[in-house]
Amino acid sequence: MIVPKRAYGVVLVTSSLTMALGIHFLQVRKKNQAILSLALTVVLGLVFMVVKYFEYSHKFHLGFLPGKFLDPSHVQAVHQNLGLYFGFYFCMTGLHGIHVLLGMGLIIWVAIRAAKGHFGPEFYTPVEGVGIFWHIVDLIWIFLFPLLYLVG
Amino acid sequence: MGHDKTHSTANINVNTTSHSELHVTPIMTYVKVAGALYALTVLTVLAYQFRHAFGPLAAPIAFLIASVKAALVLLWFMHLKEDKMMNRVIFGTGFFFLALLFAFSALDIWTRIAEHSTL
Repeated sequence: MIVPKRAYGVVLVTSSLTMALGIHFLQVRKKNQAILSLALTVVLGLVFMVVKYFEYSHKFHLGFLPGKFLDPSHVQAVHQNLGLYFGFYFCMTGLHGIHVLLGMGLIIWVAIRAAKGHFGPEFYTPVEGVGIFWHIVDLIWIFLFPLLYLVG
Repeated sequence: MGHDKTHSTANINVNTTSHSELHVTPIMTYVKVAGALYALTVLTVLAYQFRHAFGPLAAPIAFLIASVKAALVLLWFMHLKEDKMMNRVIFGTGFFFLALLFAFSALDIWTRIAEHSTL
């Protein structure tokens, strides 16, 4: 079964949960739990990127590259348009991956500010903003997963 | 005109209700939403196993499940459920323009005339 192995998007769902919990803990003035939740979110983002690295390495190894770079010796006659698919695949997952890395950086930033005691129930707007960014990155993956791994 | 005094008293009473209350979502709500998201991921994979039986409906089914997951994230994780109406409208505008983009792309593909190169 190859599909459950590809369903590593659950890592991002979990990271969305920990992000939301981070904001919850700031709202109820539990600073340490908030920092822990945010740190966990970054770790889960990192896990996602590590899986992504192995996935990309595997594709490079098989010669599954975009357009004219596709290695035809690995592809059967029915899959000659696979180069087009991998063009979309690498652009979409690559752009998504860049956003995951950006999000991780932003979460580290708000976590450091939270540790300095900048946030509490009266002010946590930057954390909420970064949270919304992180959730939208998760949201994009919710659609990319069926699009590229199941339907595609 | 003699009722001015009663009017102003009523106004003061109305204005004392605060419009900027802090909404704290309970942890259990977040955990339940995450649980539903996991369950729907399993459902997506299950539906994929029956893709041949679904035929051309396989893709719409996959994206329908994805849309339900997206709604959960938007409403609870992104707090749109308890947000001001204006923020929902702003969010909706984004989807409107996305739909517009898709609509014109679809029109382009559907109205293409097949031509074979003479080269």
